[in-house]
Amino acid sequence: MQFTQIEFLIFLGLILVAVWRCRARVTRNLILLAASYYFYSYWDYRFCGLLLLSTAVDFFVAGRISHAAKPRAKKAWLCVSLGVNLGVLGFFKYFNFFIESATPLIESAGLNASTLNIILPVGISFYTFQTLSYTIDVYRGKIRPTNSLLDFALYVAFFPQLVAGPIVRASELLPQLARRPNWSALRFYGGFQLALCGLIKKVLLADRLGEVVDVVFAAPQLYGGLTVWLAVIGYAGQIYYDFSGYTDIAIGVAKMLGYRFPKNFRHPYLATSVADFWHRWHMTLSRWLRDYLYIPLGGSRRGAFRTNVNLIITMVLGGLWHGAAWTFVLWGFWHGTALVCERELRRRYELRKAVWLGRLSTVLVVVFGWVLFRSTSLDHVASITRQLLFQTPGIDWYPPLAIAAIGIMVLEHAAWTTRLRIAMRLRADRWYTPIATIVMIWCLILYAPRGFTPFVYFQF
Amino acid sequence: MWVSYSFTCRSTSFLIFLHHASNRVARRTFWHRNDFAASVYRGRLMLRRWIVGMLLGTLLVAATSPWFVRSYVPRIQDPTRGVAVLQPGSDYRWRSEGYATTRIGPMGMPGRGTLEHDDPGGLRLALWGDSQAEGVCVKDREKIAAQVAGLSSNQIHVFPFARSGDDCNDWIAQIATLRNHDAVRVDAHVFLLVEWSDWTVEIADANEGLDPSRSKISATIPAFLIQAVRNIVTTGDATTRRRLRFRPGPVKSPALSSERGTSGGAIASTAERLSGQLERLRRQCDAPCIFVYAPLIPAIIDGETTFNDPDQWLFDHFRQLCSDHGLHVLDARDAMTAAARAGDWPRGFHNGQFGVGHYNATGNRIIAEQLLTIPVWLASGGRPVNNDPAKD
Repeated sequence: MQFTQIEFLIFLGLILVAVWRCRARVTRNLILLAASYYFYSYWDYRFCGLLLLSTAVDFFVAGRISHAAKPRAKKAWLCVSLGVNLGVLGFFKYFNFFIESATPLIESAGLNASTLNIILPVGISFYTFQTLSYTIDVYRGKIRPTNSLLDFALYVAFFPQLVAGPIVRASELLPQLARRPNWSALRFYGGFQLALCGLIKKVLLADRLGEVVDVVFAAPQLYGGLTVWLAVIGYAGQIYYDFSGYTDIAIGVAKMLGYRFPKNFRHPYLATSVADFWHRWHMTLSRWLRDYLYIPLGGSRRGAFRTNVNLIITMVLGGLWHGAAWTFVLWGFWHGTALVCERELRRRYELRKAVWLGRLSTVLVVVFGWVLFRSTSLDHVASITRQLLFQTPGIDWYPPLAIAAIGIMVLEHAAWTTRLRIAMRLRADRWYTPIATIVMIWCLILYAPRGFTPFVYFQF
Repeated sequence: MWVSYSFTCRSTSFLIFLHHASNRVARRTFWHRNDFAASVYRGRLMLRRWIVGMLLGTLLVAATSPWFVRSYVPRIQDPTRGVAVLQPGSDYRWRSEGYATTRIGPMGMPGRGTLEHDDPGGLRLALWGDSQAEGVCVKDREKIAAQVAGLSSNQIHVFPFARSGDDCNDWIAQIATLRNHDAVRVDAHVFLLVEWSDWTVEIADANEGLDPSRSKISATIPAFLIQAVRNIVTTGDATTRRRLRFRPGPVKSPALSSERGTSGGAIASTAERLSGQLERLRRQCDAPCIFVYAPLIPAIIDGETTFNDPDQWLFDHFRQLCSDHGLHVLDARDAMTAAARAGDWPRGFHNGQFGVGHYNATGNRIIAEQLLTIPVWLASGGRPVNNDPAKD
């Protein structure tokens, strides 16, 4: 089920009524758990088993880690959790990728290399990271394992964040699930407003941009250089509005239910450096990679060279997390390299604070990164890059709605740096809020594209 | 209590209702921290603010919607054509593909204001087709009729009788009705042939039904409200009713349609239906008939550019049939392809997608240029002439 479907609105309405009327915490959590499994099974009920497996293994393992007296036993139980979770993720997400990549090697050894017809379970990358963070935190002694299987199962499967994040840590959500949620009308209004803004971002901006991006990226050689530039910038807008829209809806829905999720985006295209970008883009993934990958690799504690290597490893694996393709690896490497270059430049030279220059260079690095991210192959990357650089003639297509959506993105980011951002929060007691709210609802009904477009991050 | 007031004085009772409702809202939900009087005041203020704000917001959307939302024009039954047509004198806005407003002329003709013309001696052509010939995506001056008039220095006058969704059953029936009424003199009938399905349908009665309730809705309810309801209750192409699914997945994909009907049986039946319709046309129609073949190529589909016509076999058969029946065929494919190769795609718009969809101004011009050759054919006695010898 997707947040943009009418079915979801009905489902959410029923859940909200059921949850509000229910005063007992356990019953409320049971309702939410059942709703979350229904939400997941709406896509494919067969993969609920994987969710159950991940839940059961990590609940059990966390308990064993907590009770194990010897560090070696703790480590062994952690390895069980890592093995099961990463094994399932590896099989469903990366099996075919590794087989295809290793085909020349396998065939040269006289063996038959064949891929399997594997369906990638929706949200597997997200809930795997979430459950892993739980067992690792228990192993590190940062949190105590929960005794309630119900709470833990709900933490893993909680429907607002199940399929595309934000990646909520156990220490953030489990305590909330263990008590009655702090609900108020104003809080509900805040959640509603956030979810509405998320819908606008997804349906009116991301999907409109997607109509152009998909067509141009399918055959960049047919289009003129300016149109390809438009599509590339459009993709930067599409992926931002698509994913941040999803996150806004997720956070908003959770807020309506009385729970608080961490922020996931902070106007990333205002970043003054690539490092700053990763503090603003998919923030919950960035901190996951930092805490569970970069720091265990040694972080910045083992000298400049090792720090740079760690940065690149982290970003490459982060790229691979997004998808099983060499273009994602390349995208991760591109960002890793940019981070290293930036770090070295800062270390060697006293860089002046030129905010707008920093923003411009960061946007250029990030936008070219999106070319790698969106392309289907290295040939595709080359084809788009050629059009971007050499401006070969082709169809000059300037879709007004896509240009307007890019304009809105620029204005929105620019307005965020001024006092207008207070107005953009649409507080309930402001005179313009009702007008803006009803206009947004009308726009959703009237101007949404007619086709149904899934969220971009669902494929990850 | 307030209900009884409402019968006596509506405005007073509305205020009383607001008063009680805002008290209730304040008491139940907002600002528990503050004292009750303040919360009542704030609750009331907020409720009023939201009611007024929602009205203002809706007014704002209503006022700006003509820039973005198509219009819904009522239909009337036209006695001369015998079908329901868009109300003459109305303006028909189209916004989703192209950005144009069409003036509906007499007999529901899109873009043509009058039945008269300056030169009574000029050639008068009736243009039949579906939405491609109707041309509501383009401005009136870019429609086929206007372009023909301009290119021929007003020597050829086109009467656009095309309607969206029509097929040959509708056109043939209207030709007969027009002839009986003798309302407009037509020297020849031109059919814009874009999709074969329009001419390979079974022989049937024309779709003449006028839905009075729909026309009433179009005439009375603002377009943005109609559009909003349509968006909610329909999906995809706006003709399919939205069906909600609450059953867990996976959803079985609908069976893929079989390959194009090029098997022996399919070819025979298609050819048979085509032949039957052409024969019927010839019987019903005294005036010469001309087909302009402008299929949906060149096209850009899934990133691939297509210049070859997959229905070439059917076109060859069609041309032979036309030759047998004394009908004239004009082939616009080469001109369309040449335009596309030059970067001027005949189909598509900036607010749509190039290479697909309806004919744009370029496409309409190419079709109009084809129509300029009709006087030559008629002057030669109306015998079938070949406009493309290389293809024979």
